[in-house]
Amino acid sequence: MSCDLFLDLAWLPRPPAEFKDMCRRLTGSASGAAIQLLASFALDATQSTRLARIIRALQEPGRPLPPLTPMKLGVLANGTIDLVIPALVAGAARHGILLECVTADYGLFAQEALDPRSRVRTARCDAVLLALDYRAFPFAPSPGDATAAATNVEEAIAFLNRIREGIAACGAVCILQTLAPPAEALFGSMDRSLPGALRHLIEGFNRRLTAGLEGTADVLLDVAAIAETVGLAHWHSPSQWNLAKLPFADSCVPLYADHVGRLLGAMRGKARRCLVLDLDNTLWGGVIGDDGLHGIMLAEGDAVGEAYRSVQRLALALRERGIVLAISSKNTEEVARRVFREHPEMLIREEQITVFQANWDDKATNIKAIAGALSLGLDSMVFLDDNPVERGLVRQILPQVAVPELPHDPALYARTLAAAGYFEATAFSDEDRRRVAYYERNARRVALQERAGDIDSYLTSLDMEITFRPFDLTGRSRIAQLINKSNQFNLTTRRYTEADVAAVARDPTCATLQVRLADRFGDNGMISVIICRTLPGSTWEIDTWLMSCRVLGRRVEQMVLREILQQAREAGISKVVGVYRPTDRNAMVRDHYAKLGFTQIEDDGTSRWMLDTATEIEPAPMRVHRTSPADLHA
Amino acid sequence: MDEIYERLEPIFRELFDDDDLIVTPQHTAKDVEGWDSMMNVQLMLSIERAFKVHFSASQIASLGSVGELAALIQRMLDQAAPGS
Repeated sequence: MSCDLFLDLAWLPRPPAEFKDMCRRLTGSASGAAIQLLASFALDATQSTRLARIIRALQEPGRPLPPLTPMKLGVLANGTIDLVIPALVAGAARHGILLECVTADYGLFAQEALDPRSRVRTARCDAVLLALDYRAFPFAPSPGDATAAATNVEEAIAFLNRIREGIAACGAVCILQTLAPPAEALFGSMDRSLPGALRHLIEGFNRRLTAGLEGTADVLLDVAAIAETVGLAHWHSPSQWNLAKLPFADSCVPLYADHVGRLLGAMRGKARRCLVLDLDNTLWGGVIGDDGLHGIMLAEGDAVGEAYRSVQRLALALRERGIVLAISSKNTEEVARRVFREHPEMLIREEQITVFQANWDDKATNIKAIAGALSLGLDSMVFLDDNPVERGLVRQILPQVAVPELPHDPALYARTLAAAGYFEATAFSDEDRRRVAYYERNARRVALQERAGDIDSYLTSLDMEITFRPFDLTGRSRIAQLINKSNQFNLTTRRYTEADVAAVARDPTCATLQVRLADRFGDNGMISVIICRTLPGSTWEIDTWLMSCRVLGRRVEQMVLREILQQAREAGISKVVGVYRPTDRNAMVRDHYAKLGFTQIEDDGTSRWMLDTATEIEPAPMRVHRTSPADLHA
Repeated sequence: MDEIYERLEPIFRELFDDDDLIVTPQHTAKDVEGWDSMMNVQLMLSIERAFKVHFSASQIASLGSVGELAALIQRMLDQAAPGS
């Protein structure tokens, strides 16, 4: 399914099929966290309406719905804003605000602002959104007449300021919108340079509007920028304006509402403060543990490398404005840190990362530890990771953490992260600039505490299917590739050619396995390779056991061992011996056999481990498809 | 034509929040609770999105029943995919 990054809020997960039922269950529970969770899907008009209806029903004075902060927003518009209100309520909840909207009758925005007894002015609003487009202002194009143009802009600003003063009189903050110019040009390109042309007038107005915000408490919503981003032709729909006076196309409502939501959230201190980054295939192309310092893609001038550089550049720009950077990566710490220290194309330096977590523990546990070290709430964290399984795990176990969906193309990672608007701000001060230094000084030692949540139920929800087959012709080249490329999860690091692999497959004294894993995100392909050789005394020695690090923490090892033991028993084998040959890359599997219940029998640099094939290994939550050698010969 | 009604029904049900609503050609705005002018705009926008069609104001104004709506959708789909 193709998805427009901006119009479809592509950084948000799509709502599940049971969204309607989830909304119904909300009615009974009345939990602010559950509301925020449902609001954090990419909702269409009907879904927002449904959620907004339930939020309204749960909103009672004096009933707090933490973590949501209540806010009352007046909405004054010159068009029909009714269709936008439910989306505003949902968009605000997504950003931590429990929103109540007060609207004016159609066409009465100026009266509502100026009359001290009006509904909006007497409602004790926290803020009033002036949702006005260019049609609300007395623009009178006067192409070529600079004096008339300047006067006209001043008239429009004076009109706006009278409305602002009316709102200020009731104690509410004004949210002011820049104007999106219409898509229709009069002269053409000259419209921008010709005084008095409508585009020129609107640009003048926008400049005066933004300059007039200096030193006031009022807040800017840059609608002109939102409209430019999606394109003016998408933003303005002449048909919908004529039909129902919709000030912008209904397809833009979710994006507009999310922008209002992030602004309200920022006004109430809900903007995020820390960006947690994955490393492999997020900050650089490739896997450092397997591809090595010279194998990862990060070069300027290389199309792949530049995609990752743009992620690094954005992260650094965020750091400059006070967003704390942290790393959560499944890697050996020394290997990961070496890239920061030694790779000439790295833009982010090691000391710019406030908390660096590279280990083999699950990411939910790590992100919790990072938040603890920074004394930040989980609702301050954003987690960027290319791997949908890691994203799903963090979302399920730590729903307060914002986890953007990412498109397939890494060139769009930076744009997607920026589009999500997690770090919206309404002010920028020297203090913000110094904030990172503050966090660096105060970061506590990272303590990995107990596991952050129920990993098992997440693994079950992945709907995994593991497939075991002996080596065959189809798998041969991929098997050889894995044998020659895997460094980290590789117990013996023995390299074999394709011819060797073919010979092993034919050798009756060898037992082989190629393992594939699929889950609800798709097929991971071949992820593990095993070779066992028969020794005297009805023993198998595990000559080769390797696995792709992409499926770490999914209990694949356990299922592989189950399969090895079952095949061993079928072959009349009573003992399995595992071998660990340490290299400078495979420290992560030093305790592999110990963890699986083997007993150490030898350690002379290379360690050897033994297990009785009668041992029962608990199954992991996945379906098993197996073709055993016996099946092939049948 | 049946297929159009099958696709219209969930749109009506979702919009009017009524899981039992049955859409028939004879239905008019008077027969459905809450079908006011604003709802009508939302209905038209939902249908435009779902069927990937675009109605002009005069087409919308000419509609008197669900049957006429379905016929209009059919005509527009036929124009969009000639020969199919």
